[in-house]
Amino acid sequence: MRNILIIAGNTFHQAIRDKILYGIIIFALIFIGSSVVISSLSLEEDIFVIRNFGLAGIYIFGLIITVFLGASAIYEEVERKTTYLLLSKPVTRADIIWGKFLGLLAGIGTTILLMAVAYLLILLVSGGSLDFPAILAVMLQMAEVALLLAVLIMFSIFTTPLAATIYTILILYIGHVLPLIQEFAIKAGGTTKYLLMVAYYIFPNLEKFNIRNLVVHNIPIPPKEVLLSLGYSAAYILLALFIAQRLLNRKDM
Amino acid sequence: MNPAPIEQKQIYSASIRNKAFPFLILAIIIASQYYYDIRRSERPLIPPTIIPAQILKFGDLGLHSAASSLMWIYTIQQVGTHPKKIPDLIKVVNDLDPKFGYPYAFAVLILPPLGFKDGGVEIALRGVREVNTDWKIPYYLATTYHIFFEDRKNALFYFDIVARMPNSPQEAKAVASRYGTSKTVRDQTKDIWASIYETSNDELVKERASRYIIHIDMLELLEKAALIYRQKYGYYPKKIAKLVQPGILKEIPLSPLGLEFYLDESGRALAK
Repeated sequence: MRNILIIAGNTFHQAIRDKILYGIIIFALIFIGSSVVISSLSLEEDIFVIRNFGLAGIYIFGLIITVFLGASAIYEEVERKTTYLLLSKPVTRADIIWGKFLGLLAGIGTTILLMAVAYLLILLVSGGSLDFPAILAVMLQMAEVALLLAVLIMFSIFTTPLAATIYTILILYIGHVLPLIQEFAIKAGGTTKYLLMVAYYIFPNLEKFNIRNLVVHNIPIPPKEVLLSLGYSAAYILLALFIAQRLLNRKDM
Repeated sequence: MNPAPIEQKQIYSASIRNKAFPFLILAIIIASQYYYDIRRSERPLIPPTIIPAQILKFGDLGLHSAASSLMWIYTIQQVGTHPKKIPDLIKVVNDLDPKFGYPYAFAVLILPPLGFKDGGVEIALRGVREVNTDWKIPYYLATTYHIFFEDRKNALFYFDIVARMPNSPQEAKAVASRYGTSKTVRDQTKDIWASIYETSNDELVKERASRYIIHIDMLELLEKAALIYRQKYGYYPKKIAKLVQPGILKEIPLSPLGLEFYLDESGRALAK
């Protein structure tokens, strides 16, 4: 555990020192801030639009940061041979995977937290109240981001950062259209239905973590549903990192 | 050794050229953008493309409500330029997010004067089903039934819903619960528009409400002038312009709704 925490700490420091990350954060803050201007065009729905665009901004930029930080996570370590240095010490490959994952997650979490604080401040300044449900939405977004990061790390072991990014974006896209795929499968029937339903259960269902559409309308979210989504994320992360670990074990280093 | 004065001058002018160059390029960029905007305003307006909500849902990564807000802002921009497309655009907004209440209310109040009476009502009826907590939808629906359909039964039905809603404002509650008890339909209409003006923050809705209020005020003014005319001559004028000749009115006012005023045989001011 100590090894994991040391690697995580180093990864976190390395991640937040990246200048490109600051650029993305500045763009994210500008986007969230601009929701005030956009909302003024919406006639009576200012706060609704700020909440919508604010949460969408946190989500989209959170994803960009995740892909940016996660894509080259392991690949660069292997390419630069820094993994060899780590493995020459009493550090297992599993420690590297988990350390990288936790460090990057902490880095991404910090940036998402920063965006969330900016969002809450903007909402308060614009005449809204403290948006507690939005905090829950951001928490679930973190669960989604953690899942994607685990998948990204898994991909980054056996492929280049560009390919890992493309695969992860595909997973992200499929993950969000799964409910539509399910609808289609039910209508289709026959073999197509079974094939699509297999895909439906295997691919990560990222719509589980999307409560933004409910939050903006102040629709209560059952706590059981939230817990189930968090559990789903944890299970998927375990699976993805387990596969990542096996893949790294097979790698000739 | 110091460079010769000519050499120094050359270095100096080269430095000025280097500094001025980016500004020159920037000026060209600004000028080209300015010229492009002038040219663009000469081009005919392209009608908005309506993409079905189902397709948009495929590409918005689950951000349906944010996509709906974006679509809503886009829809508002089209009110002045492409009013015929508004019903379809509002449908897309609410297909993306059926719980987004304001477009339903907006549609039922703004679409009938644009010639989409049934379309506006259809959208609002869906709104009443989907968002049963938003008082504006039944209130504006009742207003439309009252004004554009002269359907007092349905107007009363939806006003009654508003009167019983806990979150509706006092102004709306008062009008809704008084509906059917006023002396004239015109009084009721004026009351309704006044309450809409007071309770709305939407500039477009406020402007429309104030136009109706001014229009009704003008009708009342014309009827008073017609009454004075009758006291003077013993009969109502056959043409509305006759109110100007004896100096009762300086001029016949122009309706802010773009309608033409006239008087019937009983001295009642109407608009067509």
